[in-house]
Amino acid sequence: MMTRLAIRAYRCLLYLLPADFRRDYGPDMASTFEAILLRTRPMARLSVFARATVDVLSTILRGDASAERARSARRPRRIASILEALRCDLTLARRRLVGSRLTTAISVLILGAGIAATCTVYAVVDSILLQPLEYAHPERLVALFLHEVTHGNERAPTSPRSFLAWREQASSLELMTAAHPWQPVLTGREHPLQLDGLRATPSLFDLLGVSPLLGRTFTEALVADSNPRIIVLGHGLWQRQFGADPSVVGQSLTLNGEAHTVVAVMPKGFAFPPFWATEAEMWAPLVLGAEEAQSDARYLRVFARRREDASFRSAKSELDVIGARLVEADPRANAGTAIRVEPLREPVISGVRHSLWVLLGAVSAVLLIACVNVSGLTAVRASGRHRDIAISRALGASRFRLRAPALLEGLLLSLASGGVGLGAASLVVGWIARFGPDDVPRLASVSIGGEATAVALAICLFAGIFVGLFPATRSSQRRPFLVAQIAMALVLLTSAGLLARSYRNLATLSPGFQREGVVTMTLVLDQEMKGDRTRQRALLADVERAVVSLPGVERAGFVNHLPIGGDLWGISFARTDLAEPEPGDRLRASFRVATPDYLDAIGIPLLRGRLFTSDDDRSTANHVLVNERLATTTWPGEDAVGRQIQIGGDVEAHWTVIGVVGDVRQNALTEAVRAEIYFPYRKNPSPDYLMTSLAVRTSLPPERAIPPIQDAIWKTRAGIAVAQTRTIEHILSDSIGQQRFNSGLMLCFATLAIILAALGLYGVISHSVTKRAREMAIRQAVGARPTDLSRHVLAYGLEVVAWGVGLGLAAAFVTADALRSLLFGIAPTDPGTYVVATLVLVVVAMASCYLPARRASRLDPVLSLKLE
Amino acid sequence: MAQSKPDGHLKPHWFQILLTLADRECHGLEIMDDVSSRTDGRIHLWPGMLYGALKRMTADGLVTERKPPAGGESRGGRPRYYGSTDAGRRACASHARQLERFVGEARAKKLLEGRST
Repeated sequence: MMTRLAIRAYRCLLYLLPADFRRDYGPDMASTFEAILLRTRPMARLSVFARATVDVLSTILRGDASAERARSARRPRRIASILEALRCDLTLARRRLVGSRLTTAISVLILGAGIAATCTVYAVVDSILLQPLEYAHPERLVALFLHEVTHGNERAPTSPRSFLAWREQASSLELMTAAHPWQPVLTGREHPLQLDGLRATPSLFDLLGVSPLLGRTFTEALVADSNPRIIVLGHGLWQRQFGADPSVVGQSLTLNGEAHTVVAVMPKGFAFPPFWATEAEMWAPLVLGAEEAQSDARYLRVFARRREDASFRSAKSELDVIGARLVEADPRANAGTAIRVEPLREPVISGVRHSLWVLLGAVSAVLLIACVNVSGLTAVRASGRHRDIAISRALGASRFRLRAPALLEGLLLSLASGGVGLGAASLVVGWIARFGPDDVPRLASVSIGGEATAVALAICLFAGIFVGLFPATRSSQRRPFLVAQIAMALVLLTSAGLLARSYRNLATLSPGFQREGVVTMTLVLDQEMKGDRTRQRALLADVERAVVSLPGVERAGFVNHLPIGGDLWGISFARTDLAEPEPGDRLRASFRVATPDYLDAIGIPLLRGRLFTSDDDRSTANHVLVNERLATTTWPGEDAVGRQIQIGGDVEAHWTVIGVVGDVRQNALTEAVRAEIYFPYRKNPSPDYLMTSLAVRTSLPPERAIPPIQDAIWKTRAGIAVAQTRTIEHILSDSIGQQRFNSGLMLCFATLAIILAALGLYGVISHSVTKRAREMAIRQAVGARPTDLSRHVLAYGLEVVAWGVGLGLAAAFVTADALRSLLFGIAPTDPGTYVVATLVLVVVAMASCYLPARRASRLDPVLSLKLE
Repeated sequence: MAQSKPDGHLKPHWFQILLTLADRECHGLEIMDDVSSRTDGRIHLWPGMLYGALKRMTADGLVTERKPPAGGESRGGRPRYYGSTDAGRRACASHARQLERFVGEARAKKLLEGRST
């Protein structure tokens, strides 16, 4: 659709060329442009169109296209006459625009709004989807994942053992690097501070090829020769916590109780990784020791660069072979897995690509409506010029000279609108970059760059030519434009309605726990507690007691990771009463480790059996809670309470299910609920860790509840770092930021579209009432009543609206499928939304017809006839 | 001959077009692709630039329109083929000789040492 539009627009553009050149070369130019466009990636087509537009204009300015070559004597005279004609036409166009100030101002506003909306969305699309990642050779960077085929997880992390095997065997990739998030606690300040970082094998900076702002980043050689306790700081962290002090390089920081030396500070704008642990602001080398290198625990994300002589396809084939080889060599560790390789930008943008294209499509419709609208307004202005045109033609003016003033008028109008639009777009883009949702990648770097400005210029030219060349002057020509506007407005309105309802479904969906009145925070215990679960548990019990004794607090409990806002760890399990399944066929569940009061604090209901008590922590018997989903899928039709399972690789230990609790959305509101197991805090099956999350149910508002909770924690033990203090409401709201962004923008576009369509309808009908005043007067003279006249006008409006609604509904049904993957809990053809959207449109459209209809009924026939 | 002066100087894109047409006849898109691939994309002839140049070069007698070869790609339109005239070949050769002289001088001044030329 966009391609066809671009080809048409280019053909229109060719009308700017002198007629003889256009006749000789126009078809060749058009077909060459089409060929270039068709072999360009769809994403880059808009930019190709912009460059081709500039090329046509340069051709005119260079004079390559003008009539004759051997014109040394004639040329200056000819140029002078062209310039003189241009000056006259420009003066005329300016006079016409200034002469009808109000219409001009309205046109500039309408077109400016269309251009602003288009530029804003294009800038977002350009920054997120089209600009390469800011690393060296971004096109060759890849991300490698473990594809857990049996569990349908395509982008799982991998184990150190697998990573080392991949690195050793993959000859088409170089500088393969593994990384995992690292959240150390910085001490030596008033309160300990948890930082977000990344530990990566030492080839990370060689892979990314980004130079530091200060110092030297670590390399394989540097880490091998020296102490691996070195860190590289991100620009933001350096500014916030170290006051942008350049002497920080070489200083020692105490992280997790150990001294680390700062070796470098990265420049502003550097961020890695671009997906998953995107908050990382500090990088440290990861050295896999002999024991860790043999581990099968999956927690590493892997990045690499494709060798220059290897294609992506050959790298993929090689990794497929390596994956199959590893499964064969060690089925227990690797059964049911494969290696997935993707260009690094893919996991970054795959989640937003579709929605951004939908938004770009929607905004293009708004731009078209704006163009059609302004062309209608220009037509109204031009309708009195028939006589001038007829005289000019009689005097022998060429078609080009007849069209030139209108074209210049359109171009002047669109350039003014472009200025207004670009200004507005840069404001909106700045706002989006600062306040846009966190879950849209690269949004903070959105700006109106050279490309977006070029596109704005191309849009201006397109709009100018559209408005200048198609000021449909006869009312029969205007009807299709009106119908098209209404149809497009209806498509946008239904799309916005669907997205808004989908967002509402998400915003009101029960996550399985309480939405309100729960404050959460992450606590990191100090290094002294490491490895001593008894002391950890005792300390957490003390914190729980201290927090619960605060005014307003009803319940408080700990969990390893909060749902939605936290990490999600998985584990395999099997029923003990059935034969041991094959390694790849074991059941999988996510797991959480919780203190007895956690479920109560966050409001997860107990369905059967009982919750944990403090005895479950101490008892030698192994007890677990499971969620409803696990209970019904593992023991269909039976009661899970009292049943036993065996967990992970330990086949000896049996765990008894003591209760079944309600399902919660674990990772995202849009994802299906998975099986889940809760362990008592001291029976944590994962390796030791010091980070945990506290959930507090309180009757106080969050801003009053949080400070006393933090104080109570620090009073219990000063060395605890408190981070990510948020309410459950915030966590849930942040998790659907992208949907809010999409539906918000779409609603804005739909509102704009409907206002423009109504204005267009009003303008045209109102103008037709003025033009037909004489006809109405005659009708009245021969006996028509005022109500007949208004009914007559309304009937015209109704006919246009009916056609528009019919076409719009058909178009909305056809395009609805593009929205399917963006919708939650609503079908893309939901009849209710279509009915409401149609009603809204019809009411607004009829209201805009009503005013001219009323005017028609109040016309004074005598006055109208006299005026004619 | 405003753009192909007697000393053999041609605009860079004219020279590239003549170089493409020196030994074969091509239509516009082929010329564009050939120039782009020879110059590693440094000279990209957009349609206006290409056909503007072809028009002028035709007027200057450097290129001429040719009949499409049998079975030539049609792309649904009327593909116009262009070929170099004798004058075009001479202008191209003269420009190339001039470039060669420059390269010779650069070599004499040892600017190209250590590079494969």
